[in-house]
Amino acid sequence: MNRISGIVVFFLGAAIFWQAMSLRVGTFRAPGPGFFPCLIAGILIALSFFLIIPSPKEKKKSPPLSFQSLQKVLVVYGALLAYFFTLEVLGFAIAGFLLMMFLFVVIDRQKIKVATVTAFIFVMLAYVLFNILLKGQLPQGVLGI
Amino acid sequence: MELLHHLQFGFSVALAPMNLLFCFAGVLIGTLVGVLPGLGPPATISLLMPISFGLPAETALIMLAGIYYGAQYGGSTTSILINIPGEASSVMTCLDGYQMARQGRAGPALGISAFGSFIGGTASIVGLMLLAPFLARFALKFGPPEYFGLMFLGMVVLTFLSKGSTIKSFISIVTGLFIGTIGIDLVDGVQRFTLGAPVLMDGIGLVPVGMGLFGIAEVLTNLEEKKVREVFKSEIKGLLPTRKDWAESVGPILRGSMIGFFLGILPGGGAILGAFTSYAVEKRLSRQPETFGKGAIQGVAGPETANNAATGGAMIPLLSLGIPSNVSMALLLGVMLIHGVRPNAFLIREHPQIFWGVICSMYVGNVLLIILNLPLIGVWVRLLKVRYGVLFPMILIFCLVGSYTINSNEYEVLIMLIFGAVGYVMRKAEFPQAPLVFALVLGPIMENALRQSLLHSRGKFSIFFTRPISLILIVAGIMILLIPLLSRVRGQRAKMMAEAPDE
Repeated sequence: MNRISGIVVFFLGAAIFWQAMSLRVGTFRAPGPGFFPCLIAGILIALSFFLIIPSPKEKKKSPPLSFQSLQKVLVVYGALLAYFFTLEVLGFAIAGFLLMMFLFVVIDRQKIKVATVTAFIFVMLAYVLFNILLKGQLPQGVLGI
Repeated sequence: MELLHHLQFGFSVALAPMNLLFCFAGVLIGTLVGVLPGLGPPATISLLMPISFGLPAETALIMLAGIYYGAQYGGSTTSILINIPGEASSVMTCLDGYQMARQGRAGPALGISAFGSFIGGTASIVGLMLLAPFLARFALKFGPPEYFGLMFLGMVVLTFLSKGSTIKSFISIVTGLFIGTIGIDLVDGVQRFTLGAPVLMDGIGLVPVGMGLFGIAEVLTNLEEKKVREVFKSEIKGLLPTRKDWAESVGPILRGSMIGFFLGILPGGGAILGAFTSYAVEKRLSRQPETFGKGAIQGVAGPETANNAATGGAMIPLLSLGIPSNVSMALLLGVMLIHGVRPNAFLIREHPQIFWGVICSMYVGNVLLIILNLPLIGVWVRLLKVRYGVLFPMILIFCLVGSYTINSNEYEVLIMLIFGAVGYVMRKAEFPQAPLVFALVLGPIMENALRQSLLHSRGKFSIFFTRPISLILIVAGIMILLIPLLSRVRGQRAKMMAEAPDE
């Protein structure tokens, strides 16, 4: 696990460095916009080696990921992404309600009736708070509200 | 006399109906998140940031500060009743508080922690009031190298105190600094790392990052665990500590106030450090150290006082220097910047309504909290039983709506979701997230200080080492950096010595 994250950090540092090179780095006397990012990239790359080369003391195994729990996380995350992609088309009221229904029924295993009422209340509260009281502009979508 | 005048002004701000209402909302929400599972002060402050944008700066800060110190009260309730610290800073309270509850003394434990919190909180506000203007006058001498040194030291201490691997929290910090560079460079007007996306031109906002890392990631992690919270099933009676309880607690409360306050001021310090130190001190001073961990009231009174006293201390560097000492303070700094308030040594003079208003609101807030927490303890106990299955959709919808409304831009939602995934992976790989957010707020200020220093010195890094204040700050930072290295070397030497055959 540590080695993998070390490699990821290394590539992050390398990518920052590569992008920063296209900016003007400048000199110490007059540091340009690329100066600080280059410094950061250098530090990241240096730090990544500490993770890639494991110290002999740390041989702790990270707890195994159970597929079942990961599945739940992925499903919820997928639902959040689905909300994002449908938000503009459906509008907040529908997209938000569908998301809440999904979370209550599929993840929390509530009865449809209870879930419908709770989802409706949550979405309405969020709507009143953000759209009316705080004068935000949530996407109206097909319902036009 | 001048102080009285300032206080009068401060209270006139804090007691204005609107500010009083938001102060109440802040401490109420603070207590709530302290009690409820899976939401800490940084997450809550991130969640409420969009709301605060519509408010005047001082009202916003009064509310968000209320969440910060209110959570310390709520956190102790869960520690005592269910042995789960509501906040990291209440870990020490679990040790003796839960034992007291098991011995049927939940009431006095809750009582002394509320009173201790009140005394510690109030004492630290007095300290804040006296020390901050002094520090701000001192800070007028600060130039870019000193600010750079201060931020460097703050980040080092934060790394050092984060639990887990120091290397990983360092990576977290540096990544935060990088994210802070995304957007248009303020000095040259050049786009950096925007990949041509318009949403990235203004940089990556604090709100989507905070909500993603603390809100979404927290929910995703909690979904995995099947934790059943067992609430202590005994009636809570007699919240008022007895005379004997008081006699035993007076010392720890007084010492806890001092310890918490001064450790709270330290960059990277804060409530956790104060609570730990207070517990250790009380145990050492006690005539019966063996009672600690078995329900000693001193073990509750000291740390609970200290973690509240730390909240006042933590506000000092923020309000007098514009440098946060922990991640919650960094978020407050972010809010001030968004409101166009540049917190620095001039804050007290230029925005007295913020400085004195927030301080006085903390007095008011502490009074509100003791009212909320003592007579209403039953309500909070019932809230302990709220199921996570109901709570997490609420957190999610709040994040989704909140991140959208900042700029009415759906891509802010996407950024938040991406940081949610990043935060989840970070948790799995055991990288702390708080340093990232801390560095994200400070990054642009730090870069600016670095560039200005170098411009000023014509490219000589010696500028950081020839000015006494920045020299002290940077040397202190480097020394702290070297401690783990040295101890590693020493540890290995000790190991080699142990393995070496006897001579």
